Amino acid sequence: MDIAKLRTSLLSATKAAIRSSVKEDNLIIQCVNSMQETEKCINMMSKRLREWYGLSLPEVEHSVEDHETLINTVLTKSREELLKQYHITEPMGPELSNKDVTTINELAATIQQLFALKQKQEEYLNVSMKSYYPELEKTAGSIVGAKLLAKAGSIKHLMEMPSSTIQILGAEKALFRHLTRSSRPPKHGIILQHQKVAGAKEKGKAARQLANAIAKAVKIDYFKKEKA
Amino acid sequence: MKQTSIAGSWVIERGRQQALAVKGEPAFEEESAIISGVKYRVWDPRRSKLAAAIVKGAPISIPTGSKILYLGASHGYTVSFLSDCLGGDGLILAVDIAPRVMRDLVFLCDQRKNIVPLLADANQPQLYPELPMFDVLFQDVAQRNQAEILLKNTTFLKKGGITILAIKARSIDITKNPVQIFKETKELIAKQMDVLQMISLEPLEKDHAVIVARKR
Repeated sequence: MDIAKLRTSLLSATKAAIRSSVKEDNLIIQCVNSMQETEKCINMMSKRLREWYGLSLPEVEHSVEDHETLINTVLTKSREELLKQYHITEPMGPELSNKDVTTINELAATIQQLFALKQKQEEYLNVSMKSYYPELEKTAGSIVGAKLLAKAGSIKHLMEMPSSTIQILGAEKALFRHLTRSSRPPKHGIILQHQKVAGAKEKGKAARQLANAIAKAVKIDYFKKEKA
Repeated sequence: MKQTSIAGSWVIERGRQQALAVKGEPAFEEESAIISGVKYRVWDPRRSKLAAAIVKGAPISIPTGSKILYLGASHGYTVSFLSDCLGGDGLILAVDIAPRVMRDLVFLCDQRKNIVPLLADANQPQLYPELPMFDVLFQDVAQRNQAEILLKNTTFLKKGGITILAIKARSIDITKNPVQIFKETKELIAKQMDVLQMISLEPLEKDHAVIVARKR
């Protein structure tokens, strides 16, 4: 057998196969993973900003709980305005020089941009999930749906999963703890982030019901696409 | 420096541990070792189950110019070293099912002319394109039916060719004792092949073993 010929033909076949393996689910998975990383960055950087900004105006840092609101406050209002607004007569922090304030504001502005990025990524996920996997989007919502997709690895893998697996996707550590040592099994994984489960009184029951619905929805989405 | 049973590779001491050394161009930003003025690539037995098996003394003989069917090639770490060992007349047919790792493998194939990539499911060898017969079958896949996959693929192995199976006990059944799984897998393989040796890869790889067998 001619090895050189085999090599050329298989190399180009492999390249073609890799090219055609990129589908909408890959794009959604990358986006949702990126979104979660953006979220992590925001939290990390916001905590630092709080510490830093708290040196000069601890009262404001303390009373504004939401990161995004604090950042907007930092960026738009001066020290004098804030002292007046929060009725602070004896501030715990000293007044900082212009140079110091500018550096802090630069960090705040960067985090603000990250918030905008996360917003855009969420919108993208919303639109993509609605157009490619409408049933999944309807039952699980776009973010939870995309996260499940990311955990499963592809729409095909998620479609092949029984609802009991979908129910505990994201709780692998607890599941394997249950299988190897006899701890109690997990009731829910990523699914817990869905309002229906998080707000339910019996979370295990709600998780099972939602997982059932999702398992059906994914199959509908997958096979509708196959047929088309 | 001791020559191993794989052509073009030597055992070297790296601190308290042993590793393998191979001549060739670096491909994975791996360490290099200079021994009596010659530069070698260091083949880390903690990253490669084949290297681990050789360090542990498995009876694996791969001469220059061999043809290897490699199932579960992944990014191609082990494949890149084998490629240097086999030389220009050798052939490694690197099979993997995941497009993502195949991407990295294709870049490796561009540099090394004796590697051929194949994006396929090792569980379904009947779907492979037409292939030559191989001298060696190496398998390292994280699937439940690892032994079955190996046996299916022996149709592409010459009579008397050897198979090297890296068993990952954790992907067969995480609730069972690994030693039990190794024993069962060995029995399964022994039905159709002559098992030469089974070696545990502890402490280089946890819950892994290698079975070397010969096709009847």
